[in-house]
Amino acid sequence: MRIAALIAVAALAVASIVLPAPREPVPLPPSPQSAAPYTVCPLGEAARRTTALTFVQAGPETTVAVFSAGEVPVEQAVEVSESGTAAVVLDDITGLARAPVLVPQGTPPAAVETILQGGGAAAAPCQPGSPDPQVLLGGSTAEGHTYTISLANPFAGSATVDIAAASEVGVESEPALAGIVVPPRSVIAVDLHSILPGRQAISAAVVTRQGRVVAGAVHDSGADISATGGLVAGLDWYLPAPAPEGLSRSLVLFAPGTSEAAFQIDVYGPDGVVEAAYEDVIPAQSQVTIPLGDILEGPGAIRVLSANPVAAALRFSGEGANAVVPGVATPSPSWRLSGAGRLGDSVVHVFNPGDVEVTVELQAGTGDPLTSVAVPPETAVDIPISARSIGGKLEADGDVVVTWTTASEEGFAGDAGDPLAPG
Amino acid sequence: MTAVPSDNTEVTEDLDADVPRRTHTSTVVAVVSVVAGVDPQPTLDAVARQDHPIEEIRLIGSETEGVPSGVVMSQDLAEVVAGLDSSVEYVWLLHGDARPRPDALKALVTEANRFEASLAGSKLLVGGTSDTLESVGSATDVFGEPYTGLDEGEVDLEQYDVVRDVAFVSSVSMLVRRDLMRGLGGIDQKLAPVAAGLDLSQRVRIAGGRVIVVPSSEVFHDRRCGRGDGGWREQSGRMRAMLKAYTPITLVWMVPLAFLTGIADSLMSLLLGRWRLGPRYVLAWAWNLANLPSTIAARRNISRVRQVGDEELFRYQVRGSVRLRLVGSELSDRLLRMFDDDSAVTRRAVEIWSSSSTWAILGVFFLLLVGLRAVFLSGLPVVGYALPFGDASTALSRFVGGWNASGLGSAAPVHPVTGPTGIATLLTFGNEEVARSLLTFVAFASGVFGIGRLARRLGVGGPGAYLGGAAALFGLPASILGGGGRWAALVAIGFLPWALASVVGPAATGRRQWLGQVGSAAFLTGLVACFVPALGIAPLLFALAIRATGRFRSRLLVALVATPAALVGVPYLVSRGDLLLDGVPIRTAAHPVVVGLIAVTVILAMIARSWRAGAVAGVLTFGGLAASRFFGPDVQEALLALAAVGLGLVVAVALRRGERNVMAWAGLVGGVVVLIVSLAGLAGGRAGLPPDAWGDRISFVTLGATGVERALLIAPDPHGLPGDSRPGPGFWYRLIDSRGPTLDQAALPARGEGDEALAAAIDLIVSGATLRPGAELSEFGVRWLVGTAETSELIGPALQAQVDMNTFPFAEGLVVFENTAVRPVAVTESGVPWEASGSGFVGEPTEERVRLAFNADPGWGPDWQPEGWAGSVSGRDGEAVYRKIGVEAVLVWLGTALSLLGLGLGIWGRRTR
Repeated sequence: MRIAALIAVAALAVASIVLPAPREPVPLPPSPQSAAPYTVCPLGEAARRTTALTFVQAGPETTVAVFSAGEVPVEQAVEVSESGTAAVVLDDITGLARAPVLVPQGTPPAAVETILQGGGAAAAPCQPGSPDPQVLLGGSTAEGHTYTISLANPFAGSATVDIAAASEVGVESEPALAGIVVPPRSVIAVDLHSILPGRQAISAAVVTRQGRVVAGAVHDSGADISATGGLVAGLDWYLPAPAPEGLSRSLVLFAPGTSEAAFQIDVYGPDGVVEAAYEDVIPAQSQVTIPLGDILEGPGAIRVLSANPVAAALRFSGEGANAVVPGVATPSPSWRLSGAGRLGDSVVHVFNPGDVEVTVELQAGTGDPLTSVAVPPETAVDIPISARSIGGKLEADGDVVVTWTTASEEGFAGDAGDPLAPG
Repeated sequence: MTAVPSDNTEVTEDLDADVPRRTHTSTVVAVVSVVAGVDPQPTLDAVARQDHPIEEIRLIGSETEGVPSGVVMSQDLAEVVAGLDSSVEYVWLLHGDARPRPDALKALVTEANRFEASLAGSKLLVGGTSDTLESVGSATDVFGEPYTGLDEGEVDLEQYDVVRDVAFVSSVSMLVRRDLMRGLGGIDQKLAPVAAGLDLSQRVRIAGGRVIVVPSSEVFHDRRCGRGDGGWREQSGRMRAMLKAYTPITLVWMVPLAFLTGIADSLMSLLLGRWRLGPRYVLAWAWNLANLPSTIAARRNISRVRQVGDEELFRYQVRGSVRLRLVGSELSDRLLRMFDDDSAVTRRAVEIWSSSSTWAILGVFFLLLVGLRAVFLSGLPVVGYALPFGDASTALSRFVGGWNASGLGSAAPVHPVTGPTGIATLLTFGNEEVARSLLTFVAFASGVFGIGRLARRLGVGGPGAYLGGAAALFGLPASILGGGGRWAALVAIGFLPWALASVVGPAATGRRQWLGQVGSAAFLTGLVACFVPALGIAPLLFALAIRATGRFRSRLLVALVATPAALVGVPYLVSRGDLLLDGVPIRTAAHPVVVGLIAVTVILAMIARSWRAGAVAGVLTFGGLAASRFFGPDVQEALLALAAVGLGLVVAVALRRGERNVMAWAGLVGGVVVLIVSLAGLAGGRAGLPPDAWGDRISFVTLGATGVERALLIAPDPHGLPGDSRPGPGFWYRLIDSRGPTLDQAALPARGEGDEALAAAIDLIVSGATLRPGAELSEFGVRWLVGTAETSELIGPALQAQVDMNTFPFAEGLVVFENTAVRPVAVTESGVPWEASGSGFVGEPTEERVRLAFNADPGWGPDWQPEGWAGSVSGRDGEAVYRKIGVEAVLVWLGTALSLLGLGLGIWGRRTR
């Protein structure tokens, strides 16, 4: 009995050492991130300029909320047509000089674009913003120019951001651009022409430290305005490159990261594809401006491939013209062009980067077909679209890249299309 | 003499020359030490008058003038001893302030020869009196503190007149064998008189000699050399004597204990207005440190003549600390005399202080004070399952079958701990913080006595059992429970030994006593079942196991009759059926070395003796630890509580008093080490619980609440949240109401429809698919979303881009959002909140319906109607109440009634004894 007791105690002691600990339960797998349930138009103005927000594929219960100084003074429903198109002129709902707008989104999210008129014409996408750096390209603070960055925070928490600017003098170092606090439901306008005057070509990256902002910028050259939304840097960019008469084109690249970015430019011109037609390196947090005429004569398209993330856009400038058309990161078969035609007759630029011909159908905002065009492989094609209050859509049987431009008496404007993800 | 042969020839040559003493008149040299300021002439005259012939009289001192004729002056004793002829058998050492009776030396020589003693001391009488005793040989405690056993001024009525072995005799008058004196190097000149006597006596004993006191040898002592009752030189001398005498293994535990005892003595003496004790201890330690090299050298010399182990010294020592006993006795004496001058109570107190168990209990209580210090200073932490009791009426109404509002609510019973904690809050007039602290202390104190009682029932009682109480409350299993914030289980450890002891022990001698035993067992069974429901079956299983050992008296029938009191916890356990084997387990990681140490200790103790009690202790400890790997947290708690009690018994078995062989000594050392390792649990001073995590830090949830609202708590680790939690996408979460985390909310009931809806809402929010997470959470009454700092990566991105939850920046270490679209838990259609009242709600009577954000249950009224996953009641009566008495509530009532009946029976039955 005594021996048995000893053995039993010893066995239990050994068991309490060697037995594995109970399995630790684990939580459920993290939820897949959904598309942002909102979009923000940071560049809305209602006093100095006329701002129209154009909607394509909007839900029937779409609302807009103008936010300013911690308040939401205006929140109202949008009259959406049966086909899902709508346009909201901010002057009609608010008198605020700066009237950024928050648009809750449904499924699928509507394409929303900001169209600015007054002292020129400009178009810029409405976006959800990103925790990654948002790059604003193609500005200038030369004499007679103003360049204003709008930092819109429609959310409940305050945000803190840094602005990393670069110009022809290199990386700009300015304490006033660091630690900018954007209170909840507010917009902060940063006048770069006051802080960093005299830069012929300037770009900036808005780096979020805390919270979330949606960035946009308006560049007033005196004769025309351009508007840009924040681009999130990527490794691959497609840029259809029309050649409007009398305007100069330049490619603006910006590397927001802390590493330099080697890049190459493939040119899709009338003579076919020239791969690596241009190669260079962008220093960290710097920009490079390349006159497009040096590598591409006439209309065509270019593709930028980089080793580290960069942002890319085409800047158009000339007599009474100033526009920045952002690059497109990913080809898609479905596009919404909600602002095309709002400023007058416009041209839709369709680039087929693939090696198979693609047929594209341009539709009105209601979905009615306007025209159908075959786009040869590795070729860019221009499709005119007549003036209209709300733009249209484009459906293709293959992946294409779509931008649009408008040349009017008010000025020159353009924007990239809004791709619709499959499903 | 009885000296044991030594391997050291240099020494044994002298030591073994003892044969001829009984057949002739022994030759004696008297050595008188001059006492400063005292004329030695009377002493020399008294020596000269001795009946027994004296070969030579030596005077030790520095003065060479005025030395009487026939007296040889020497500088020191060593010189005298070294110069003695081998024909001299004894050296009679006398102080210069001593006056021996004429027959004193003769008596010493006669008895030393008769008893073959190596060292004999006289009975000392106080000079100037005829019959006041000063010393008749002394015992010491383990630290060398003398214990004469005499009262102050005690008269010599020959009551001690028997020759006997003693720990030491005073150096005032001692007869030492010359050969031994020479072999041992004589008296240590560094020591004060009493310490010197102690030192020499101990060395004689270690060398195998006998130390006796000869009461027929009477010596009057003027006490001019000091009374030996203190003084840092005496104290340091005693310390040196023990440091020289003990083997290293004894020193390992004796030295720390001596240090601690010194601290306790100093502190307690302060209460008596004696401030000098502390500095005296410091001086004593410093002196010994300074003289450490000579002490080490002396140890080396002793090791050469060592014939016996320390146990031979222990035989003549009293248990515990003489100093602590004296000071404790004096303290209680002073206190009791204020009320009861020289009464039986006072005498009883003195007896109590004489018990070593008293000192063990006091020591453990000191440890309890250390281990609970933060509880007394700043309250119990709010962490894990150690949560505030909340409002007493709410807790009690939920305990007896009211609505369980934990999470999104349920008809399932709350954890039965809400019963006793609610009562405790009532008893402290609603001060739940005081109730928490008091209940914790009472339980821990109860645990100390409980382990003592259980160990006694298993035959291993004594002071070691009380020390086992500390191991039970702070040792490995308790630290596992404490680490998991399992406060109720820690409290259960305090009551469990009583419950187990109630089913072991002698049978009742009559019906009334038997009923008393049943009543006590029922009450204790119900009590432990309230804190850890699965422990309700433990007394019955213990009684069965005890019966299987075949030795102890098991009260199986008592256990059987008492077990229905455990019904109080059964409904809760049934409602948690799926968590009995699953759920978020308590982290049972135990260092193999610690487990191995405990195992070796108990096995050694079992081999040496007490194998049955050791088996019970071992099975409880290791069975509990091993089995806890297979069950869910509710059963784990019970198994670990049993393991904690088992560990207490392991220490009790290892430290059991009595004769010890090598195994038992090794077990004793193991027990001491286990005890010391267990004391690591004292470190935080929070009863082993982690630091506060959800107390003051989350107090903001009560701010500005309109009606009852809720907070959604999120953490990446379920152990980081208060109470139970549910798995979410990448994290764990739970709801608490705006009172903050309370004990009645700790356990989450099974998922209802509302819980599923909440899970979907959380998934929606975290996926970033909603711009208005506040609106999603408002239907659940959630005003606050609180994440630990680690969750900012998980929920931050989704909650950066939303419009109806404001960030709250004032919570330290937490990520907090406040819902601007909150809707209270109980609210009318027009948005008027209703207030909580007990487990229901009250508000202004209205024709509107009142929505209750609880899982749908038709027990609510009046006129309950479902609304999705929730429901609404009519607002006409101005109150919303839950009235559904299920079988669960009946069982809880029954269990409670049996427990309370048991309490009454226990008291009634005990009176007959």
